Amino acid sequence: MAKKDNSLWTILQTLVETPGPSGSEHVIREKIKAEIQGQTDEVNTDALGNLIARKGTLKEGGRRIMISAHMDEIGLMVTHVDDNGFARFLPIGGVSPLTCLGGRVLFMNGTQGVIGMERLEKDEHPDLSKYFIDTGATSKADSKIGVGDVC
Amino acid sequence: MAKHDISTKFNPQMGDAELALLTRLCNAVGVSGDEQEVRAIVTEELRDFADFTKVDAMGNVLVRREGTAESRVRVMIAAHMDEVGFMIVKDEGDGVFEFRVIGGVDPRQLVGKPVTIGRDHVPGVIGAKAIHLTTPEERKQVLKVDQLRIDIGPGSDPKVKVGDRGTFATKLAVLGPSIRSKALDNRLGVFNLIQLVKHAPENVDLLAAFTVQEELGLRGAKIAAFAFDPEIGIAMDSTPANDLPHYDGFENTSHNTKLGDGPAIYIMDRGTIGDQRLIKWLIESAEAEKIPWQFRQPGMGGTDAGEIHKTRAGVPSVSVSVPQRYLHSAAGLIRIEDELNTLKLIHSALIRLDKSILNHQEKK
Repeated sequence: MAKKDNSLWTILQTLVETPGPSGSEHVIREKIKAEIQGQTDEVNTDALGNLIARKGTLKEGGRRIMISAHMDEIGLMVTHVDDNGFARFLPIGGVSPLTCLGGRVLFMNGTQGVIGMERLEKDEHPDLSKYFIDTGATSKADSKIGVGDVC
Repeated sequence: MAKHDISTKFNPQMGDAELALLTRLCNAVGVSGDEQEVRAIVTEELRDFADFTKVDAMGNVLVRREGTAESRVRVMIAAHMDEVGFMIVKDEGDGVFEFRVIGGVDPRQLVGKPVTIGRDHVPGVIGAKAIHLTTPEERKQVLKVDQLRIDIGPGSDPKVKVGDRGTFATKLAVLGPSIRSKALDNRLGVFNLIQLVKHAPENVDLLAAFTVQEELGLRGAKIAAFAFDPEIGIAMDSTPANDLPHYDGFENTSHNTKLGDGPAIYIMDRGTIGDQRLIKWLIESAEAEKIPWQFRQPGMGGTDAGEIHKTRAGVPSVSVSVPQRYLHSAAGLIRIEDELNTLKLIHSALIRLDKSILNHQEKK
């Protein structure tokens, strides 16, 4: 096999840095596929987008073992872009309001943003409905993202 | 068979015949688990159009209409026949009955509403103490379902019995450009699916599933999808529009959908992430035909697609709904143009469908 930079470190870095929120696994899937292609007996993408690889030959008395690892990650999905260009969003999977405040985000279409929050009343706990993503847009028309975009 | 032409052109209208059918569907009582009135209408309407019809073990009506083209996509379209309502749980005598709700009904919607009970449509009312007799404190409380009773009047119909289902007694009304009814969720979907079977495109094998018990957790769709084993799944339903004018001077950021903005395409709900290839296909079809459309805001709720997409080895699925105000109450309200545009969108999307849509492609 041709020598390439396939140290575990490089592979891991690629895997963790490639965005793939649930339902948008198409990019990470291609990266994984490229990594394992040529080393398996069969690689297929199924109806919903699972990447299925088979390796080995079943001998008599042998076992067929399925090993599963999910390639999706948690993320955010835009539900509304307001008149001032701020994007409201929902979590995809379990996203904590505490950990995402102030976070920088990268949308699948390349747009970047930062997560801000409305002013809270005293003792009010933060809630994602009070959060917005600021992509630098100044209006709805100006926004590079819309309803359904994920990051 | 007196089939309509397998059609490439279909311009949906709400004429007298269509309105009569929609009225029958909406006024029928079909609370989850007892959908027989709706089932009877569906079977009768499609008798001359189906290549295959079956009422399955749970009561779903499964209809297959095959296209004539050489290469055809097997598309399952689901529309649930059931509606939310009540079930009688105790006969307290003198025409007074204790009941429970079936499906998601806000208890605040119940008090004072006329209802019909059982297969004989016995009229009744959900009663409450007259305002004259209530204290200011009582008027601040929401009455719970187990505090309420359905009253059909003393000595009246002995046909009402424990286990009977009932629903709001609202009859369909046309209000200018709108329609008001108790069961637009989801007789609109049923109506649309009937029309699609009658005007099925030649390039698909249309697998129409008129499903039961959606309101209790997508139960009918699960077995219907297993039986049909489709390549693509579409759920046609109705979704809330919370689009009344802004309050508090702030922009309404959670309208879900808006009346008049066209069919609502789902990206994500509680049970499904819509297949991105199918969403793109619907949008491209809408744009090509100049049909207005909107995204349903990603959020909670769900449709039969929640079960369809997890069937067997997976079925790429998407949902499209008609926006409706006051969903799951005695009187929902829709725009006729949204309804017709929904039907038009699905039909024109089906016409341009071919198997290549199922290729996985890396998006740039």
